[in-house]
Amino acid sequence: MRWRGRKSSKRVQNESLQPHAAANPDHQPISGSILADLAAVKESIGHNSDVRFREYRFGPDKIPIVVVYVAGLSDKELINDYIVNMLLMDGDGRHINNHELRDYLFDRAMPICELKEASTINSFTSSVMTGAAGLLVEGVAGGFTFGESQVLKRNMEEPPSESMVRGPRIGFIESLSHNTALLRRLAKTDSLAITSYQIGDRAKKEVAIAYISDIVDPKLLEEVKRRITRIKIDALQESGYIEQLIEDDFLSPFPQVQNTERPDRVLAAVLEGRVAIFLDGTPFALIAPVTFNMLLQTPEDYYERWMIGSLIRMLRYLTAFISLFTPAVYISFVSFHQGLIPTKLVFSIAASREGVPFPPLIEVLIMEVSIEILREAGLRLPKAIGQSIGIVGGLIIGEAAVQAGIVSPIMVIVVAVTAITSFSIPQYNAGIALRMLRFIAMFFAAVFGLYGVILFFLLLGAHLVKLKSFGMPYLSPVSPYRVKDWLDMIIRAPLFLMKKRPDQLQTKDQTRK
Amino acid sequence: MRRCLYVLLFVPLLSGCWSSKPIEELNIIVGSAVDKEEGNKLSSTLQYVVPAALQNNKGGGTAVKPYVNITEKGVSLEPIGWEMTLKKEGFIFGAHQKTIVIASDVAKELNLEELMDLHYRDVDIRGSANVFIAKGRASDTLELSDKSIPAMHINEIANQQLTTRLLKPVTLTDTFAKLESGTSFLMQQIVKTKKGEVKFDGAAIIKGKTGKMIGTFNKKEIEGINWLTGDSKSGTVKAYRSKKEHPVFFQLKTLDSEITPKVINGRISFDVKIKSDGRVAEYWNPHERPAFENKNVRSIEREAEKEVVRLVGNVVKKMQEEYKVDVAGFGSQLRIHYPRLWNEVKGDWDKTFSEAEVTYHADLTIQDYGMIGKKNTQN
Repeated sequence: MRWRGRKSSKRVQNESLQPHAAANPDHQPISGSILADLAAVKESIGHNSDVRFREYRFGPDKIPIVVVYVAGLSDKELINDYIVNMLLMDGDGRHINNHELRDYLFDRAMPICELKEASTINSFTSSVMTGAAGLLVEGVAGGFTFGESQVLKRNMEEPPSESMVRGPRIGFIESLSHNTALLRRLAKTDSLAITSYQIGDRAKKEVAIAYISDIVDPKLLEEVKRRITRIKIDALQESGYIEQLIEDDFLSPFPQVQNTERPDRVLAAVLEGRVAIFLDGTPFALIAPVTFNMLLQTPEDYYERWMIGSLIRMLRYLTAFISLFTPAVYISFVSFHQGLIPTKLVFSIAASREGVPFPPLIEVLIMEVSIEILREAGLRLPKAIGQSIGIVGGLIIGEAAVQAGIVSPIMVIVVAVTAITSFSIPQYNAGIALRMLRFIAMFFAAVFGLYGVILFFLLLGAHLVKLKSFGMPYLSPVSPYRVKDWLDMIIRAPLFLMKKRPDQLQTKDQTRK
Repeated sequence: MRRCLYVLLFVPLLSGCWSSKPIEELNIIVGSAVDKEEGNKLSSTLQYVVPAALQNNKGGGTAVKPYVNITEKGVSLEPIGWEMTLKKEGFIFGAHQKTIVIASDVAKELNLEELMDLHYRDVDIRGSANVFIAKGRASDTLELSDKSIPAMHINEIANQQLTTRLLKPVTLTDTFAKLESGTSFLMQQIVKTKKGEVKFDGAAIIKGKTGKMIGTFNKKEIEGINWLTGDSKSGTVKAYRSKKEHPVFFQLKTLDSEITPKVINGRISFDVKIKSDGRVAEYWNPHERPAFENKNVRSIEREAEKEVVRLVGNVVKKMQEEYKVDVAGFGSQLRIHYPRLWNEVKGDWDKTFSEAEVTYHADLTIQDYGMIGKKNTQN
């Protein structure tokens, strides 16, 4: 982990715009004269009310030492343990001269794994401000920092955004080190590689990428690393920032990086030869590259027996189609191709539309928009109230709208079906993408009828064929056609048949052993 | 290039809602009838569905007739259609038309192919609509005392084709194909009874060459036609020797018939083989001859076979002698088996057919006699 310290110090050196910094703070070294160093540190960060300084005297020579930490952020127990330990040792009763002192501290007095040296005032203060405890010692040029910020962590619970019937009930949390540790615990292989970067020009955050080093395609890995290191932003709040900054096409409605809270999903992805990206402070990990069919898959497809997995997966393809096209097809049938509807259905649709004042497009728009509003309102409200919104919105408004003759009952069915189907898509943002496209499909249908719907389908197909995620075609294995990967696309073949990793990922190690 | 793209973006907006017709503004037609009027004119009746009335009837409210019939006069169908739009708002939408009824006096006077030209030509009207000939006024058959939509009602009876006493439905496409090729054919005849019901009663014979109706077959003769062509799905035939014997009925489950043409020294003859499996549906006198005994079952089979041959023979005789037309597909079998010979005779096939000899073989098999084999009449 030493390179990380180097890396961070390098980054720190680039920071030249801190307002409270001294004349040339970048290279101001820690001299070893504790008064001067302390003054410099205090000038840099001493104005913060939560920065604490505590002085001790150490050894028979009563060497002054100062511990600097941030209240509430630094791990107090760690500080107490080691400082007390150090003071108790009392230099083994020896008089230690100045050039021995550093090695003595390093090797004997502070037997702590994450003890680092900071040579400049700036790197020292920067470590302190990110949660380490700093230690200045009279006569030692360069300070020490140790420990990490105390992690405010919650329990690892089942992720609410991806609940499943069968599968591990554990999800990522907001702490990166816990997340990567969780992944390692599940993977139990020495070839799982985790590489970290500090990203963010102002507030640095740790970004880690995880991959299996002897599986992943080196070109893919190179590309992911290149995109991550090229992120220029002052602060990353959530992995969504990374997703948006590294995606291929910002104009596409489709997510080009998958996000997940489930460690089993990440593990499965890296074992296929994909790369996972973690960000400290968010439970959502990213998986790249992603293909269209991944958006319609859940880990459960693999946990259940293959017939169940395949059937449910096929059902999801159907729901995606229904979600996207039902209102459009309804509009085109009702206003253009009445001859294609079965005769008895024509009568009941015509009867139900009798007295409805709006053309089908407006009618569908009213209902679709209001159901989107209901969905949004239900999401924002506390859970207890959220349910009543569903009842008020869905039942009462729907029923009243029909009674009032603003919309037809069949329309309500169409809208309800599309809403439910769009929620059955496992990837939340993919569901939203389909809902978005549904409106475009409706306009096409209102203008050209079924011809327009087909036109829209072609446009959508053209877009998807063109779209790429980290250089991998979004529609693979359909286009480019890789028949071997079809075993795990619309159906999920029995596990013993899927002996090869996805062909499309061009992994170093093709066989699953 | 980019400017071009922007222009393309607005093309959809320019087109508006091209050819969009709201469903509730359509006049959905399910049936039409053509009648003869004075002064060499025709009258056409269109049956519009009133969907709202259909919906209301379900709720049990005051029952409203779910259809409206509108009649107009004119020289042909097209001007009549436009005349109707003066009376009732909305487009006339023919894609769901199921039933076309032509009055027999129109069919006797006009060439059907000319009369139906509008129906054949129209893109909306489906070729699957069934065509009927009405005894009496055609428009009457679309006005029944029943609460359902008459055109749909008629169509359902025709399509279900439950008995040998009605014809396989003749669709618009069928009539067009037959008229184009000059083949004579039969059309189902319907009539409105005094009680205001519709009844399927016999068939109209259309001569292919003229496209006009030349006569009728009664229900009994239709039975013969159905046994001959093998078109029926279900039905029955009586199997008793004399009128005084108690009723015995053979119910058919499967029916298969084969017409084999034979040409010997230029003389055309036909052999008809009818094969049917079925069961004893009604048997009033098992105490005399119990169905448990195989010989009795066999004798019922033989009686039924005789009856079938009689039915078929009668109708073929009527075709050959009275009307001199082939409406049972003998010609098409000859075309298949002897295409060269067919080319020679097809010009005047109806006449040639009426001189051909036809032999019949019926093979009926009784598979079961139902739940009972013998009636206990001892006590």
